[in-house]
Amino acid sequence: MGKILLAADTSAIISLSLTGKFHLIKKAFYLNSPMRVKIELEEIAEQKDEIGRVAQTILDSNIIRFHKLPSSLQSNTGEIETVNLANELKAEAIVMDDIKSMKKLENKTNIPIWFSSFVIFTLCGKKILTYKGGWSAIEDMKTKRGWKENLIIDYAKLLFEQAEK
Amino acid sequence: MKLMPELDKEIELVSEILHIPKVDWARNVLARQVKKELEEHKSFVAFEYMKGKISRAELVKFLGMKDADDVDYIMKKSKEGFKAAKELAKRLK
Repeated sequence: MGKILLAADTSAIISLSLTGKFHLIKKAFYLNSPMRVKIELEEIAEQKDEIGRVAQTILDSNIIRFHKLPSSLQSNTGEIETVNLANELKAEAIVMDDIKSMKKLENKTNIPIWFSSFVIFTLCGKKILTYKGGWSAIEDMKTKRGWKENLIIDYAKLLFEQAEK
Repeated sequence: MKLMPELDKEIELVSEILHIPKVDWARNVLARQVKKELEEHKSFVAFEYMKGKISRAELVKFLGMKDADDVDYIMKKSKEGFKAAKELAKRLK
């Protein structure tokens, strides 16, 4: 079974780790992120809340492969570096859950940018996860975020329900 | 701001502990709560639109053009992502 090369920004990594399904995600995807995302995760890990603990767990694991980009491709935002990394790696897709950045960065790459729910949809398509398991994973992504980011999750659940009918 | 005397006393205590004037403390709490409630209402309206229960015109009326466009963007990207995931899964089987 082939694996999919993916570039993920901080928001998507946090969302995916909240599902508790990284062991399954690893079966279908190679997850890559730039060093800027690692720095952002380190900053988040300093917070003593659920998201901080999740960020620390990711950093302690070998789930994500972090890449140092050439200085001309480095940026002070994780989203921009993620797109640059995806272009360098010729990734299959980019995942991020930040609507504003997605809109801004879509014209900087030919690689499709999807919400992190794409990963869960793919796992279901490959029968690594059942549709019920996928729905529950998406539900677990919902955390203290803005109302629009939570709408991404609500709509993904709606798509799941419609697909099951 | 008129408050029940018991509540006023409790806020007085909190403001002493935090060294913040009680009116400022109460104003901040109120602003946070109002924002949270407004977001819940926006979220509800947007989800009704996603389910096809209200029209685009109604969505724009309640949320404004910018937020309505973002809701459409979320729907478009999610649908495309769902379709792309299905195709990718099929290709890699």
